[in-house]
Amino acid sequence: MNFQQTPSFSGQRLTGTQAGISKNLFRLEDVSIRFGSIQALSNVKLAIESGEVVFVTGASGAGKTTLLRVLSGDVKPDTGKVSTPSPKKCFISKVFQDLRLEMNKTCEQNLWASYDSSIYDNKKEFKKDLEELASVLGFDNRLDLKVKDANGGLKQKVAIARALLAKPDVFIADEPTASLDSGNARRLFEILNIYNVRKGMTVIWASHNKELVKNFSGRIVHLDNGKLIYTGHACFI
Amino acid sequence: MFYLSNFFKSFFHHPARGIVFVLATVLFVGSAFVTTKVEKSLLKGVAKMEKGASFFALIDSKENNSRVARKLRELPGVEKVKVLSKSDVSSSLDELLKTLNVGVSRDLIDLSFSGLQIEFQKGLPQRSQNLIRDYLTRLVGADKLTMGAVNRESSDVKKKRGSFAVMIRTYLGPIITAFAGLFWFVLFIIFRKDFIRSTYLAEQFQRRSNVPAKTLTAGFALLFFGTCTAMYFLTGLPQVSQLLFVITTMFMILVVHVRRIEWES
Repeated sequence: MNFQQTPSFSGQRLTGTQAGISKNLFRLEDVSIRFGSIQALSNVKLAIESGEVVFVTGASGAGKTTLLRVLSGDVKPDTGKVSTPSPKKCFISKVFQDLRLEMNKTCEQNLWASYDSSIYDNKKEFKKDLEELASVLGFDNRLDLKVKDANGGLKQKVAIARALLAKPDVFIADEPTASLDSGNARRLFEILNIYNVRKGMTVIWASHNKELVKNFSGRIVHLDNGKLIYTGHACFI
Repeated sequence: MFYLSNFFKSFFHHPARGIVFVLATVLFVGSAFVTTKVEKSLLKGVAKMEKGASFFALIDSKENNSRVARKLRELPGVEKVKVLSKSDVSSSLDELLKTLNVGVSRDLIDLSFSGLQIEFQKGLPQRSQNLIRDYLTRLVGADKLTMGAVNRESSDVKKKRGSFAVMIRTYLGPIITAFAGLFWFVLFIIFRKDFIRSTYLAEQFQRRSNVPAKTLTAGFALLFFGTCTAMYFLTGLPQVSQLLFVITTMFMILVVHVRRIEWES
């Protein structure tokens, strides 16, 4: 298996070195994980560079979520070697399938979980970013709505906005468009591309949305039954 | 400051819960101090029960019993002189008859007596007690006076007092602290959900590590030292063993939260 080193975008995007991050951000060597009788990952070799946009595809149960959990350091492999960036140098923000929102709080209160005084000068600056992002994602008029009263799409947007407001170096999302219609999914996809180009954010995204993959110019990592079948440009799939 | 505010925010998400938890913490920490206070006040009660030796005297009612009482009170070694009411005299007479063991019915006894109960100071030697009794005989006259036997100072009370103190120190204090600790622990487990969530989110979406342990350290430290300071001024020094128990319990909870926590849905 060849390690792909294909940047997804050219132009103004910051490279990993420019962003102060080593080039080989993630490296998986012969990683295997088994959950009981299920082989979640089998001898996966993969390298992801800083600033890449990687789309992890595959059918349900192919091992996408497990791969993301390995990359984010939540799961240790049974065998193989995983090299992930130091949390002090590279901050990873995640959007989980279960979203992990506080249901009794409003959308805005959930977004404030990302307020970190070490990256924002003051609360005003954070509030400005929050409103801007909510506007871009199209829920600025529903910031006061309690999450328990929100629909699936809004919940997903809040979870994504919360992850983006943390200004991460790496954004890992597991099926972030599952509850979104195709228009909103495309919009989110564009927003993440903007973050990638302008801020050098590495995006790793798991989805089985084939429509999005068609228009995708980044790298595809395709899994099937825990095995890495293909890694390369979407146009060759 | 972030961790401290996070602690109070997560526990005061429901204000009533927050207040109950803070009060439980104060109770738990304070229990290590209260034992000494409880011990003192209980022993004070026991000390009140403890009396010196005493005896009853019946004086001819023609005698001025108030004057006799006053004269006796002036004597060193006399703790208290009580002028007895008629009902007191009646009960004392019963006692006297028992002491004398004469087998005479009370109805046959002339009751034109006034009564006195003379209590000696605690630990007064037998010789001094006898001197006081002699003085009373001389003061009133042997023919006008009937004295009961001296009720000896109870050594049982002293023994009881000692064992009571030991019991409080050995069992009551630790039991109070153990129950307060159990109550506090149960409340922590019930109320920790909001805390777990807020610290988990802070760790996931802010550049911070070990948020739960740091948050608990900040919160517990403030409540612990705050309570200790207040209780020190109110009650004095704590029982060290109980304070160690409090510290150990809190520390164990901190240790459990040092590990990576998971989202509880």
